[in-house]
Amino acid sequence: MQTDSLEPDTRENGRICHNGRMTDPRGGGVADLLRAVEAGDAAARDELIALMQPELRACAARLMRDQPNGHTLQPTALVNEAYLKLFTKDDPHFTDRRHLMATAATAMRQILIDHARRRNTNKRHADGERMALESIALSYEGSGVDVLAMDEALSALMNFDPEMAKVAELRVFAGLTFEEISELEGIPLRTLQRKWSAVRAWMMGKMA
Amino acid sequence: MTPERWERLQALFLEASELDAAERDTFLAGLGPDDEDLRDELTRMLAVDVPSADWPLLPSRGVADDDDPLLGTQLGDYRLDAVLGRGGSGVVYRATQISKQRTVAVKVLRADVSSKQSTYERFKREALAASRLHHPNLVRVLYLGHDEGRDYLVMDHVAGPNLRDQLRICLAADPGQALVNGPDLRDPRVCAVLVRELARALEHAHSERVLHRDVKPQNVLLDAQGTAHLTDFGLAKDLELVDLTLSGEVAGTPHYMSPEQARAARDRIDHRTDIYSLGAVLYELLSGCTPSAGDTTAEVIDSILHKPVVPLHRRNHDVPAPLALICMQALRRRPEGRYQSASEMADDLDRFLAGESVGAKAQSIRERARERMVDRRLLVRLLPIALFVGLLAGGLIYFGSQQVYARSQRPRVEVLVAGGVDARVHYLPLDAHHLAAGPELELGKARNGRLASSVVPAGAGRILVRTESGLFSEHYCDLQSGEELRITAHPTDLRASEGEMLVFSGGEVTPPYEPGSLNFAVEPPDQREVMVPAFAIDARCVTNGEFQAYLDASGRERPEYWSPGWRAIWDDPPRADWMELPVVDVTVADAMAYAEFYGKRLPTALEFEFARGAYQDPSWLETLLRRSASPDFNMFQPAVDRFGDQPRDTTGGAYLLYVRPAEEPDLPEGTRLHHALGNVGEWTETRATDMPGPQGHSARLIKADAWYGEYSPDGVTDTLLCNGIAYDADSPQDQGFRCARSLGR
Repeated sequence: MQTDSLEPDTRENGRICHNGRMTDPRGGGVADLLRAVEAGDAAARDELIALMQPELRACAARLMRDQPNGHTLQPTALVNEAYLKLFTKDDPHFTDRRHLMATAATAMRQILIDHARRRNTNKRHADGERMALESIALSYEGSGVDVLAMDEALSALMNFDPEMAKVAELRVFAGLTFEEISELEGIPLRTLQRKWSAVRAWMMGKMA
Repeated sequence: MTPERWERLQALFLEASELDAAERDTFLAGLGPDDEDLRDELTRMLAVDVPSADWPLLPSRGVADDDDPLLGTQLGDYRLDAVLGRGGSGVVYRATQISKQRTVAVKVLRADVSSKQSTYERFKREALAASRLHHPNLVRVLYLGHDEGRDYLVMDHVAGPNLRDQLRICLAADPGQALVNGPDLRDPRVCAVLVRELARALEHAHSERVLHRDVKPQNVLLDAQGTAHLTDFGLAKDLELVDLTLSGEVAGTPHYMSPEQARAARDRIDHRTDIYSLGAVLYELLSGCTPSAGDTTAEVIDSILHKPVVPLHRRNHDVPAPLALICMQALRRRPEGRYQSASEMADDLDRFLAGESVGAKAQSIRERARERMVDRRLLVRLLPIALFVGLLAGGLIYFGSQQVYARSQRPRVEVLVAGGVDARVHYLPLDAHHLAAGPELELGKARNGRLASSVVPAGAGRILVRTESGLFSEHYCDLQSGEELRITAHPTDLRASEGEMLVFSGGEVTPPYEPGSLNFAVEPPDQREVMVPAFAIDARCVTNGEFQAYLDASGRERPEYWSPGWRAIWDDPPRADWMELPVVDVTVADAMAYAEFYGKRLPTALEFEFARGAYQDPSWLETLLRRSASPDFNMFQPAVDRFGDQPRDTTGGAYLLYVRPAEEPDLPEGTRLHHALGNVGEWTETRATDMPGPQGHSARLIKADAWYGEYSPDGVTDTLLCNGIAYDADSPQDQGFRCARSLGR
């Protein structure tokens, strides 16, 4: 057993991740889960997010280990690594990044928020992971972004513009380009960019 | 805001953002009555100053050196010509000082950190500290400047490679072939000369009360003549400015860190830390490998703290013995064992180079044994090996070191037994996992309730007190040489706590991870069995009611660190079941004092896992999660918001909302460990061996950790930690404790 078995992330109905591999006690694999997500099953999406988090954390620790001191990780790197690790090129779902990326972005957001809050308390994560998350959190701070304030703004946005809230998540926490988001979400690029400029101004106003 | 109003707001924003400032004012003033409610929001959105087109995407890393935006630009008198290197706080450029037409090195503080006060202070301190130093083997600091919103530091430019690159070149070179450029580090004497120069440079810096704190090959630059120049006082600590250091966080490159740095023992770091690092550099020059091993920072730190340095001659037979002695002398784990000044080390290197006998001596067996005794983890590692070789050998090693240790000044314990009754007092040495590390030692008999000061081994252990009428109490201690402790024992009747405590007969278990470790990020250790002796553990967490009773009985005050809001809640509890709720916001010291008062102690991490079935039932976690399934605890702001008019005290708000009394009537027979997960986190006695806290705080493993929640429109989502650590000095607001005790005898 390794890292995650002892620090599981779980939801109300208690699914657990062992060994950094994804397991679903109800028997389904990640692929099944993803199919359910695609079919619009909200519970399955939550479940996938919960399953994704240990993978992201493990990736954070792993990536950090290979980096020199003081290196900053990109959340994008984490999300991509976790994605590649979960789905091999042979997997039929490999090409459908849409739901997975959205889930990964949400999972990443939750991890960072959790980390930011945890920093205000006295708990600590395992070392490699802590450094990785710290470095990400610090680089947000370095670029003038308060992760907690951004989370609040995104939650508020969710209430009246869920579509753009999702876009924002993909942009900020999964680091996707607008071209990619446009393709994933089926929003014309120009519309996306116009909407984004408004959303961004609104978010910054909220966060100021 | 409704989706419709948001649509409208977006449209207005897009329209207005096409306008210039004056037109915008007119536009805002001319909003129709339907849109007046959006004016404030719109004004705010238009006033926003977007810092970059990519905001809030993080700036991507790894800008190619040619693309560096500052290249070719001028800061003050200096034109930046090429990138020499990148560090944590900035980029170093080769630059031309225009007025003098000379080449210099310019370190530019990164723009995004320049604004940060602490980083800037460090930068400035580096400049000031280094500018006071003048030595042929130190890189000179010429000027501290500010231009175009950038802070920069101008230094002498040293053209050659750094020592690390030079070593690589030398190691790759053909053995018989002469080196074209630079010092030939394959020759031990060349290394000795170079390190002597660095020692002299450190001697000068130390005399100016400046520590380098990051001596490593990358920070040694070689000029065209092959002379070494120490640079980058990036972590240099002015001895008079202790408060500005990195809050005790581990700083520096791990491989060359001294043990006291690795332990983040800020108060113990002095000039001898540089001597250790210089010794590590010499070791690498002579052997090609660093004295510490490991792939991750945590592993390297573990190696520095717990593993003996492999003697140099075993790495490289060709190193002259006196030089190897000098190197090993600098690398002693305890600062007192090293050279006491850089000049002593330089002098010894001089003696070696002159062919005279050196002052460095091989570490005596006694010194080595003492280091091993102090490092209990090592002993723990040795024991299984010794058993494998043979019980006799094991006994020799163990008792051999015991005897050696007996000659040094051991800690002492004095025991007072409440009620003045007679009692037998034993001492149980503990290993790194707080399990028995040897047989109980009889300390003596407390007559009329008093056992005079008795010698105990250094390190963790338990004092066990047994009265003739069968009362029992135990006390955790962790004493170092020369320390003394007075214990007041309150032996109690174990039979009286039947029903409150669960009894486990213990057994051999194979923990899936290093039992004192939280660093799951690294590979799991070699799995091995450890013995958990019989113990009893409270079925429930200690409650508020029990804690209050303890305060009353012991005459103690409420913890002084409790906030006014929390005190107010205690004075007037808003929940009827207040007295049954687990107590929280208690430091480990207070938890231990509570346990001791009742003759108990805190459980070890292994005992906790044992009690909650982690070793017996493969699906223990699932079982526990099913029982702990509702979101109980949420100490974060959203919870406090929902808490409404109650004081905005995070402890109070969240606790009152979510924590449950430790009662689970549906627990199956035999699993009566209530709230083994998810109600509140609980202190254990076990130290987190691989994660020292800041300022040298030690940390303990915590078990049964609490829920962390996040409020969203869909409900509360939760993350649950089964394990964590908390620092000894802290009183986490979602953390309580339960007690345990040893059985047997």
